[in-house]
Parts: sequence; structure tokens; C-alpha cells
Amino acid sequence: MREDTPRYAVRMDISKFGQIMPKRMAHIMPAPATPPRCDYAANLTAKALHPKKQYLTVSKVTPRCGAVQFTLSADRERGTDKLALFRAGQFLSFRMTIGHSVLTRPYSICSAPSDAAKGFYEICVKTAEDGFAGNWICQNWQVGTKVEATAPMGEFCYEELRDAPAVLGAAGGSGITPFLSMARAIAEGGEDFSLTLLYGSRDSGSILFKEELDAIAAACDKVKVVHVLSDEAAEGCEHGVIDARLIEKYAPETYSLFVCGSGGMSRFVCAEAKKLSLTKKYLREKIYNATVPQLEEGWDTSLADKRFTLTLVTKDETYTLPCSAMETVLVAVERAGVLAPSGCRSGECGMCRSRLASGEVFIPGRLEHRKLADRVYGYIHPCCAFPMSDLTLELEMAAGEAR
Amino acid sequence: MAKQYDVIVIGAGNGGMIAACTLSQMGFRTLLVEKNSSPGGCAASFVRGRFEFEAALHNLPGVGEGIAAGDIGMLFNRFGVKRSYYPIPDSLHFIVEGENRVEFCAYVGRENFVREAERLCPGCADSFWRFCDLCDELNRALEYLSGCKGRPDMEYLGKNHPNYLRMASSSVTEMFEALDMPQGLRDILGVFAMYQCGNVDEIDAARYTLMADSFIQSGAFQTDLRSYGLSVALTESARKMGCDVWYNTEVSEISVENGAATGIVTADGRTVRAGYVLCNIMPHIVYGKLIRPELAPPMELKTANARTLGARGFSVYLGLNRSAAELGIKDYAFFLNTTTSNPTQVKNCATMEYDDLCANCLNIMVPDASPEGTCIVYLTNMFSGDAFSEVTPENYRQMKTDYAKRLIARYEKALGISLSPYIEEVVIASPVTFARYLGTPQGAVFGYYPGDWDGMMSRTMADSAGPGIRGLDFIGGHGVRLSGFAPSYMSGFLGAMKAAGIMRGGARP
Repeated sequence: MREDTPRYAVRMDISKFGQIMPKRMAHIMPAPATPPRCDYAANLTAKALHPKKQYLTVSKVTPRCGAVQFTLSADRERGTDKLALFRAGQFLSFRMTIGHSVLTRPYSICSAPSDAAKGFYEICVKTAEDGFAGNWICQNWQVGTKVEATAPMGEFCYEELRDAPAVLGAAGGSGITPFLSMARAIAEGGEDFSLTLLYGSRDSGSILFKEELDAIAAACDKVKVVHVLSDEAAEGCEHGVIDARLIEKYAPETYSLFVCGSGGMSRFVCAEAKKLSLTKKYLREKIYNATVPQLEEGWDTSLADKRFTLTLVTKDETYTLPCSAMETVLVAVERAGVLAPSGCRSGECGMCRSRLASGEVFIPGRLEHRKLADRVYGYIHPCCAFPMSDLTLELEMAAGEAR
Repeated sequence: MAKQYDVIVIGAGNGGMIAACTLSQMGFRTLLVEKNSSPGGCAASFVRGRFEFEAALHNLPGVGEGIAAGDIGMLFNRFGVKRSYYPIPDSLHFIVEGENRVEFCAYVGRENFVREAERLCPGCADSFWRFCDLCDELNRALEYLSGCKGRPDMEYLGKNHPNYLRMASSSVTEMFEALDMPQGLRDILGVFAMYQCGNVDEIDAARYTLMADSFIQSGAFQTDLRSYGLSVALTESARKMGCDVWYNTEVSEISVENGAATGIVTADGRTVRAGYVLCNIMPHIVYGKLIRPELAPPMELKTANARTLGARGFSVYLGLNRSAAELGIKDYAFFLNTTTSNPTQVKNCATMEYDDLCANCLNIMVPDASPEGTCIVYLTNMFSGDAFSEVTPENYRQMKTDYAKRLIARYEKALGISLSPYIEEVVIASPVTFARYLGTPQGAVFGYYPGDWDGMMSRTMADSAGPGIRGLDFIGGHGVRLSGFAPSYMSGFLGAMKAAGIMRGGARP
């Protein structure tokens, strides 16, 4: 140590040390002895945009071809005064009890973002594509039915920092819903991009929201709708499927391709996009519900119809449940009536993150969104993990939620 | 029947995870509750497309070997946490734009630092070495302090480490003045204070020196699986040592009976009892939301109200579809400032008027942080004030997007590096985002501002001064060691040791 240090340091007034606590007290004593404020603008905004639950009431039921549109309003009686605002393309995850099963289902919001401020969301449920829950909802939800949803979630949204100013939307069947919301948002000025929709339906009689879409396209030059019919050659419509040729025909020079449809349609369009050497930056796919492992790359066909035992450990109880290689771990849990946290059902949101204490699961590559550390330390997203053996799962459910 | 534990740790942040490990290892029946579905608090990551972004960690000191070995590495070893660490080559790198553009970049090591400092500020070496002597003296004092179990003999300190007492009660600027340090070197060293978003005229010299010296002498590290890898490893260790970990569990009340904490009530109505409750959440939340006002000691309420909130975070995370080399990015991290003066800088970043930032490219340190041909860049600004005081659900998206654009444009212009065309994924975290995940008032990420009357020594003395609620204590970035990864980990350990002492029948000092 240099000898001259103290000479310099000594110029800092050591007597101030004795002043530390008196000074502290001098600042503290005049302050009020009231609960500290926690409701700043940032906190209130976070709470308004991301409520843990939203209590809704079905306020209108509108039958559409092969589907039912539900208008959902804030349920003030149960404490939801205002609906969370959303970005066009987002979804709500609904929680419901069907028979002995407690489960969730994500549905894209198809109303305009401004409608949330007016107090309602609209979703559209097609019966055929998600048989179990979809049919049940269409049969059971009536005006006055009380439902429970999450805050709006999901990243299938236009992002100006990332996407091309022109979006080509490839929609199949009820996959039109997020695009309808986007089209409405563009028309009312809430979103600033142009949208060309290639919208695949079976025939001209089965086009969902045809009038609404055609009306927006007629009134707004930033929205264009091309109907693509697989089973019918009709004037003014394309005949066939949404393939590379069709995309190229309608695509502007630079564009982002957004894809939303049934599993098969979505997979096909994304494969077609590869032919167009579209980079990942310009390709966005919305997946709702991982349900069919045999369609996924890497599936071991010898597992077909195999049945296993799932030991489910919660903080209160241990359950022994049957499960099958053909359904996700989450579905097995839900079918047993155990209420598990879940949201997107496509691996992205991480709400169902749980520890796999033993056993092996198949996780389709396109649904693998786990964090590296979760992979290394044995955590899975049960919503897109299929049993490959007997399993032991520690379920990270909220306290007291087991039925 | 209500479950019974020895200790409940609320919040699986850095402090909470270490506390849970420490107490479980000592044999205490421990419950760690976390409101989110995964651990870490700030020490988190998130996935978008083919990118996994680091949420918060810029540099972690004390996990290396040799001179860079330190208390954090020792803690991790103690709990069997083994991850890979990559040494960051620079101790400090910043660019000040303006008429006289200044760039400072020094490799780790005092000799390297002073050489670069002399280039910008000729003749400053003597005062730098005097500063280093003080650093050494401080470290010796801290060695003594960490050995005395929170009960320092002030007379001994005064006799043997008088300069420690001086530094603990002086501001950084007062220390610089005492060292006859030229303004040029003060400005250079002042940049370190941005790691606390602190004004050198206000923050205490001891805590600042500890931090600056550790960067200069030992350097810091980045880790292989993001800071989230450390979080999962820590919670796994805690679990293996018998700790129960409950995710998705929000606490709605801390039960207090006869002036002592007796447990918690969760948001869905479950009661859990424990003799000790360690809060890895801010006193603002505990006294503002979790303990009924009539049960809260007035002094605790006054203290919380008297304090100033620490910096609020704003980060833009970019997943780029070009490699760092293709984009021309060479450096892991640097500050991009508009002024050489730290006090001016801190004042400037109170609002969104300025767009100074800290830029990181994760792949420079962790080459496989993203797929080949891509890289991850994050741009961070810390707001010294409530910059988002005007935010509403309606204007939020535009507000954060506009500011993110400014940060990106600032980076592109200053570096001559283009990012915008290559953005494959982008996430913007604002004070609203931090308020959502951390629950802190205003989205504060640095606990309380450690200025003037609320520095490390002041907090340490207050901490040992007397009881608030018996069996209730605080750990984390708002604690005695102040904010940051290493201090919050350390506060978890110190808080756990204190709790263990009290639970084993030791009287509270």
C-alpha cells in the first residue's frame, strides 16, 4: 500500500459517519405512516392489460355457417368492470368444465380492438375442427352463460419493427378469425399495414364472415380478400388450395406471410412457403391446439395406440391416471378432472410449465418453445408433450386448485 | 389443516432462491412461493421463435477463477449449481457522442484501465492508483465485516479501517475530491455508477468502489443458459435439499399476530403457517398490499414512504437474422451516452427525452446463444424517474414502440451498423412489463435508490437497529447490499443466515 493514501483519504470527513443514522431518521420521520403507494400508471396499465382472469357473459349468439359467433361482455357482477384491450390477432383462453374434464381452449378474438373498449369481444367457434370442446360450447353457451377467460394473449400480431408493411394472410376455415380482427383494425385506423387475404373455404356456401370481409375490402383499400375454394369453381374466386403459385400471384414484392388454419392447411402452406424461399423473419404461423401426434415430424409410429400410466404429483395429492401416446399430457390431466394451468396449448406461453420427474415424452419440433434451462433440467410444457412411456409429472398448479 | 413450515420465502427472485437454498441446506423446512410459472424474477429469459432472450443479466461478477473468484461463485458451489461462465474481456466500454466524440474501452485489469484512462485524461494515473489503494483498503475492511456476523466492532473498524468509515459516509464525488482526481478520470469512473443508475454526487463511495473495483480488477461474466439457467439450477438445488417450491402462487396476505409474522395466505385462500417469512418483494408491496395497515409498524411505513424508487427498466430485445460478424458487431457491451458527466446523465434519463442506452450482443460472449447466422442484441435504458407516468392502456403500445424505435435508431446512427432490416423477432420490455412480472411500483428494477441517506451503510445500520415485525425480513435488490445480480444473491444468503440465527434461538441484535 502506498504511504500517501491516508493523507488523501483523510480529507473525507470521518465525523460524517456518526451522522448516517441521524440523517436517515431525519428523512424518515416526516414521512407519513400510511401504506406505501403501489398503484402508479405503469402498475395500473399492467393490471388493465393483463388481468389474471376475465369474467365474461355471453351477450349474443350468432349462428354462422358451420360455426357459432359469440359476443362476450364484461361481467361486472363477478368483478370484471373493463375488458383488457388487445392487439388484433390475439386470443383468449377459456376455462370450462365438460363432464368430468376441466380444460382450456384458446379462441382468437375476431372483433375489432376498439370493441374491447366498448365492452365486448367476439369469438367464433367452429364445431367440426375441434370436436370435443367446440361442439360442447356451441351446444351449451347461450345468452347469459357465464364464462371465464384469460387476458388477451399471443404474438400472432403485426409488429411494425419486424414485419413487412404488406402482410399476406393465408387463412383456412375458422382460421379467418384473427385476420378478421386485423382487417377491422386496419379499416378503423388502429393498425397501419396492408393485408391481402387468401382465404380458403370448401365452397362459396361455407365462407365464414364473407359479408363482413367483403364489406371491409370494398371500403378500405388496404384490405383485399381473395376467396380460395377447394371444392367449387366460382366466378371471382380462386379454385384449389393456397399453394406457392397462388401466394406468388397475389404477393407484393416484399411481404410477411401470416398463416392460420387447421393443422393440415397450416402445415401445407408453411411447406409451400419454403418453396418461395421465404425467410423465418417473414413467416408467422398460428397454432391453436396440438392434438394429433401422428401428423408431426419425428413421431414414432410404433407408439400408436400405446397406453401408459401418468403419476401426477400436486402439492396436496398424488393421482394415478391413464394416458395415451396419442394425446398430450395436458389432455390426460384434464380428462381426469384435475385443473391444470394452461393457456395457448401450442407450447408458446409456458403457463403449463411442469417438472417431468420420470419418463419420456415426444415434443414435436415445431411446438418446442421451451427455454434451454427447462430442457436441461427436465421441465416440459404438457400442452404439447405426448407420452412415450409411463410418466411422473409434478404439476405446478396454483394453490388449492385441485378438484 | 394449514401446512406448517419453518420459513416461507416469498418470491423466487435472486435473493429468494439463494435464501431457499441456504435454509433448506441448513435443515429448515422451507417453502418458496412464486407468483409466476417459472423462477428467477429478473433472472429470467423468454423465447420468441428461434431465439431465447436474456431478460436482465449484463454481467455477473464473482463467478470466475483466480482473482475473479468471489462470493457468488462460492455460493453457487455450495449449492451444487454448475453452469458455464464466459469472462467478459472489457471492464468498461463507453462511447460519448457529440462534438467531441469519446470512446473508452479497457480490458480487465488495473494496468489496462489506467493506460486507457491516461489516453483520454493524461496525468490521471496517480489519482487512479490512489483510488486503487482505497479499493484495497475497502476490501480488507469488508473481509473483516463479513467475518463478524453482522456485529462489527465499531472501535476496531475506526482504528484499523478508518478509510472504510470515511467511504461509507461520503459520496463518490467527495471521495474523488479527496483523491485530487482530475475531472476526466472522474467522468470515466462515473460511468460505473450507471450500473446503479446512481448519481456520483449522491451514492455512497463504499458501495460504488466495491462495484467499480470488481469490474476493473476482476471483470465479470455471462453464463451459458441465460440467467434463467442459474435460476432453474438454484431452484432445483433447493428442491433437492427438501425445499417445497410452489409456482403460480401469489400471496395475498402475510399473517401477523402479536407483532410477529405467522405465515401467509395465498390468493386462492390457502393458509400456510411458518415462524419466519422472508420477503423477496419490496417493502412497498408488503406494507402496501400484504399486511393490514393497523398491523404494520409505523416506522416501517414511514421508511417505505420516505424512500425513492430505484431505476425503472426499458429494454428492446432483438433477434436478428444475421450473425454479429455479418452485421459488423464486435463488442459484447458498451454504453452509448450523450454526456461525459454522470450527474447530468442521471438527470437526463429521468424521462424519455433522451435515448442513451447500454447495448449488448449476447453472441459475442455466448457464441451459440442463437442459431448460426443469427444474433441477439438488446438495448437497455434505465429511467431514473417515473418516465412512464403518463402511460395508459390506450397509449401504451405506441409509447413503447416509439421509444424502442429511437433506441434502435440511436444505435444504428452511432455505430453505423444497420439492425432494422434484420429484425426477425422483437420484444419490448417497458416499466409496464416489469410492473407486470415483478409487481414493483413503477416497474422499478433496482429496488430503492441508494442515494444520499439510503446507502449501503445506512441500510446496514438500520437493518441491525431494531425490530419491525418479528419473524419478517426482506431480501433482494432492495436490500442492504443494493441492487444488481450479485448483491441480490448475496442479500438472500445474508438474510437467510440472519433468519437461521434467530430461529435457532439467537436473540435479534
